[in-house]
Amino acid sequence: MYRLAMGLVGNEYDAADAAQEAICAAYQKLNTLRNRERFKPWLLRILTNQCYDILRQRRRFTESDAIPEPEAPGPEQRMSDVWEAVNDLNEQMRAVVILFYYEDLSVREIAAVLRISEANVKTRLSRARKRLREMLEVENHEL
Amino acid sequence: MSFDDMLRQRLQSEQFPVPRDFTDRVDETLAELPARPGQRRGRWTQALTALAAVLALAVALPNASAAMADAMGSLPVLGPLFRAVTFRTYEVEEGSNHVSIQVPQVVDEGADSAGAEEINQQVTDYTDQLIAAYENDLHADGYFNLDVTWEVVTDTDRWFTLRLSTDLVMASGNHQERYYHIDKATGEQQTLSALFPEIFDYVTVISDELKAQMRARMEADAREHYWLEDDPLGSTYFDTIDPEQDFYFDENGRIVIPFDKYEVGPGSTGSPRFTLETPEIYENLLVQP
Repeated sequence: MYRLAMGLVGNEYDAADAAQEAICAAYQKLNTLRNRERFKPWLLRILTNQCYDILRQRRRFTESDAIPEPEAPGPEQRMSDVWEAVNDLNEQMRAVVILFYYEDLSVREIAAVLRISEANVKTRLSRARKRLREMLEVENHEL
Repeated sequence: MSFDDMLRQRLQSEQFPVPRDFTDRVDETLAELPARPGQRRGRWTQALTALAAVLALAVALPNASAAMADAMGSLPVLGPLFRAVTFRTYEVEEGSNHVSIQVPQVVDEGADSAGAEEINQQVTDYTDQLIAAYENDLHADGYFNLDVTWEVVTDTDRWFTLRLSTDLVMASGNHQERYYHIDKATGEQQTLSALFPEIFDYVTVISDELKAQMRARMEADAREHYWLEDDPLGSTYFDTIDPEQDFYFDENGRIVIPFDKYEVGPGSTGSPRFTLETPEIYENLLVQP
């Protein structure tokens, strides 16, 4: 939950807010979950919606159209270089990458979580892979 | 090793520390959720007298109507007549907790409808699940307000639709609806896909109209917002309906698509409904309700 929330809202405070809201919402809706095996994508979908709601509110209350980039990690929690590359992706690709690589969701499950078509998930994944490859190759080359 | 495998391996092996503040917030939230209750005093109210009266009406009136229609030769009776009655109620008033669940049952006249039987079982399963969730997962010191009510939203010669509404208020309010349909011509339960021929891509046509309506509503009212693909914050958005999306027919025979809160927009958008207008949808409709 933390990775997905951080990837979408970009800072710990909002990520915690989103997680908190998602837990409460999931608890309220638990009786509507018909298939327990689908709990994980179900919960992540609720979390994604909460993150998205926070982003909308943030946009409404900030003058700038630009969404702040994910905040830099503190010295006590140095993030991985790949994670930093993931954070450089745009929001749409970032969500798909996190759900696919970190959360191990299938393309079909991601489509359900994000409410987009499976073809759209594949397109975003393909673009994200290409972008990550470019970024990580530059990084390795610089090293 | 492919790039994909390498990427997955690196992502999953690299450290990703979760800050203490975050875990504390999650722990606090979990701890504050209503816990397992003690012995409940919930009860099924078997309102036998009232139920008997309702059932008597449900059986007697259709008979009378059908007989009158046959005698007058004016109103065709295509299939069995259906009514919904409150079969039982579950009520709890305890401290700050309030639960009121009206469990409907579809009663058919003249035939043993497979559709009515299926719906009654689904309604029972769902309401039993709600009651079990309340009895197993809630504690007495939390605020919990649950109301389940039902309504017949369509009842024509051809079509019968029962709506079950669930209103749950805890930290915030949530409203959900479920729809159960019977095609009176067959007595069978139906879902959205049964309304159209296989060659008609109703999913795309309906989805396109819904998206167009959502855009129009946003233009007309800045307070109404829907998550669509061109939204600048679009990490998640509405793209297509479920092939068996909930729906109902309004009084004009138009298809209405209802969405639950948070399904297609933020909480401020509420539980929106969309009446479909695309002529192609109605030209392909297999059922004239």
